[in-house]
Amino acid sequence: MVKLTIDGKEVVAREGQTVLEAAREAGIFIPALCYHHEVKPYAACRLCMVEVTRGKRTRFVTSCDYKVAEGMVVRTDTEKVQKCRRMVLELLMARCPNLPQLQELAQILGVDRVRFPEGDDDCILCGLCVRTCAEVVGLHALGYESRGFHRRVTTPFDEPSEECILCGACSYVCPVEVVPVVEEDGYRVMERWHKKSRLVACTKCGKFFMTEDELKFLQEKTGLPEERLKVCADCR
Amino acid sequence: MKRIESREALLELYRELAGEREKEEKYIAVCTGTACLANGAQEVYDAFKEELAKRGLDIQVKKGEGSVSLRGTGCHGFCGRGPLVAIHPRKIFYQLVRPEDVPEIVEKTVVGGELIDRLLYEDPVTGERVLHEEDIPFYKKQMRLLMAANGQIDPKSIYDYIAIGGYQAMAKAILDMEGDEIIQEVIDSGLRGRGGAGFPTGWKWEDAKKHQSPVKYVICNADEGDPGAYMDRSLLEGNPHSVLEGMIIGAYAVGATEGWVYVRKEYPLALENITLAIEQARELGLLGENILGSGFSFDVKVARGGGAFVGGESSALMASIEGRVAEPRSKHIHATESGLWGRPTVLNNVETWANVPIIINKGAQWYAKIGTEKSKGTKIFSLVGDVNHTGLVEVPMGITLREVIFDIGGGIPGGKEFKGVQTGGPSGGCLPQSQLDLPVDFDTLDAAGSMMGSGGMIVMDENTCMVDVARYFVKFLTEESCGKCVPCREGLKHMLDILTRITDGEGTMEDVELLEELGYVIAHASLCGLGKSAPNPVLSTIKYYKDEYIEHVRDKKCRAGVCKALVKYIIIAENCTGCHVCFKRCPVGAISGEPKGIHVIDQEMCIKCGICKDVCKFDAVKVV
Repeated sequence: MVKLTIDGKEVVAREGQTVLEAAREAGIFIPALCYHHEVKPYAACRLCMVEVTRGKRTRFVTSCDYKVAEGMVVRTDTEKVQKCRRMVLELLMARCPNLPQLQELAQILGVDRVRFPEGDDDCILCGLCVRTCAEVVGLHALGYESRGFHRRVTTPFDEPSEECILCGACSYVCPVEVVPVVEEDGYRVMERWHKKSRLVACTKCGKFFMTEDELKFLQEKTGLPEERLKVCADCR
Repeated sequence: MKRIESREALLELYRELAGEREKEEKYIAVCTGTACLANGAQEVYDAFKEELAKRGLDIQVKKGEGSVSLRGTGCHGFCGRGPLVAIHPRKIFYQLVRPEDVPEIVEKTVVGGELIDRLLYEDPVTGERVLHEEDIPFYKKQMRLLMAANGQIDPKSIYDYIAIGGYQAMAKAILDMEGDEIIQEVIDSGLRGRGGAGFPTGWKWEDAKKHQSPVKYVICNADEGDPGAYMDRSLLEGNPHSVLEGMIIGAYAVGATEGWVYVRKEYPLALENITLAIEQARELGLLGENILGSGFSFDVKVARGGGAFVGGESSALMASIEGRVAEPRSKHIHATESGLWGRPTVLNNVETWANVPIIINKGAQWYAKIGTEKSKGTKIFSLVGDVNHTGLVEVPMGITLREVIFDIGGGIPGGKEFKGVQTGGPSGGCLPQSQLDLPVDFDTLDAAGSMMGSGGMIVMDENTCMVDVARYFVKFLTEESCGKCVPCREGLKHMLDILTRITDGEGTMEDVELLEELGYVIAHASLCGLGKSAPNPVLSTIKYYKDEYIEHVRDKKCRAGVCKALVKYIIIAENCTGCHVCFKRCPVGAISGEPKGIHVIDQEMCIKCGICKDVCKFDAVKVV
């Protein structure tokens, strides 16, 4: 157990926990868009920055990947924190002007204007889809293309990825919900990744529940016979 | 090549080679660094080879009295005057040498001992011809601890390096010293990282030593990417063994068994020379198993960088060696604990490594006498821009900017006024006249709003628009941002937009304030050093040249005449002779006037290309 102070409140955290996790468990709000507990911290959105004092030294760090330590003093509400958070959100809102999630956050953080020309993107480049695909699913269907301001998430060569099984994990994890999954006419379609796959029906109830690509992936992964895998979770 | 298996064998080889060198009566050193090569040094070298052969003087053909050896050496630093040739033993220094000068040089100077006046450097102040390299003002105030050997050895020959005492520091370190002793020596020397951040090298080593691991790495960062800077390139091209020797010593001190040199692919000669150096050292047994019988084994591999500027950031560099995209990560856990492939890793810059053998040879006490209280030793700068003498200069820390620019660099060409100097590469700050007497060291430059960086130094004269300069560097950094973190990716893009707006005459005073606010956030909230330092050119120019921003915004004027939207070209009637040249050369037909009559520029049509001003011999075209 590690004892630390966050915004004047004594907090007990587990060894190896990050400041962000400890704060959230203690009910202290720190915004973060590129963090998800299932994947490794990425420290890219910079919204979760806090001031941490250890001994004589105060540092300005991302709380999503900064580990707690005994006696640490964390401040999540300093002027510097506020200033940086607000500007980062303002920059993201300029990039993606039509995302309700950002507007909600703007209300909480007190961002009431965007002083930069509006773009027309909808992806905040948090990288959660890319990392979930790689770290959770174990595939590399998604990646980044170009660099700097032109960076974007896409499939290799902008073509339907041979790796993608349309599992939809990327859609599930997207904090701004811009990776829709649609099921129609016996297919699962993810237009953003230019990919569709035929759906497989449960042999017991007859409902569609997975894609052919998923079935193949699971067969390879588990070595189980097809007839066992083709039963949906409800009927299993 | 015969393997060297003991200290005695190394000493014996050294004595033999040094003795041979002493006996060399005459030798000609032709600089074959990249800058001189671009100026035709290879042709000069070949001409010497041919001429010496023709006269039967080539030492490789015939040893004996009067024979001459020829060396293609590394960069001498005085790149603006290349190709450079030094004739030893008198050390006669010829500059701007052409292949057609070679027969005369051999005839008169090498054989006859006479001087050829026109090839000697002429002191612009006294008008006198200068005989020796060290007497040229460009070299006089320099302290060439690292660079001097560049001019003495053929970088492709390990024997040349051994002949000047190479690998003796390594022998001393791995045979006589404990790792802790070496680390203490490096700490006491006060050496700080030359790659830009200035972190104390010895502390870094100490931390890496502390972490137990069966595998540890040392890395040489040779991914120098600052536009116009080529210090590391010249060292790696001109004296690769000094870097390698430093790495072996560091590896032994921290307990590393494997090293990597990460070189940009755009540095073909540096790649070639370091690769060859590694092969030669391996063949001689100075790399590999049980070096000099010490029981210490270490080897080095070369990795090629793809050319992204951010690849020089240490964590991005390691990702790149591991085969991933060169993107930085948080460094809350230092590389000395978990670096390359999760192992304790010491990453130092080329110049830092090259300092190590010197410290071991001469001792920390000797080394720590050079420089200022907190910045020790020398630093190599690449002095470029509006300055008379461009090239690589190595100076003791603490020298003033004025000395570097005016004494070594010879001041501003064309009698123009000095306006500013940008130190530290694209993300360094610009310092004005009032800061010229600042001593050059890590902390002073930081405090002034600039930085040491890896050693770029760009001098700018009165014809430079400081807003445009800030825009130029931010454009570079915007293009080089990897795009991982929001402040750098989005913030720099908007900074560039705002700066472009201001140079287009469409800026507002709120824009200047917004630049400062953005600058603060990008500097504090970015993930890596690229973003953290990127606002420097903007913030420093706002700090020191705010008048110019205000003029651009409020008065719609660019005093330097650089920002096209804010200037117009006019013809001064009194000066116009009607020579009609501008009329003929204007690419858009915006100039009207009869021969011998007064000419006029149609402002509507003018595209402000400046050709009329360039071609006018009568100073009749003005920018207002």
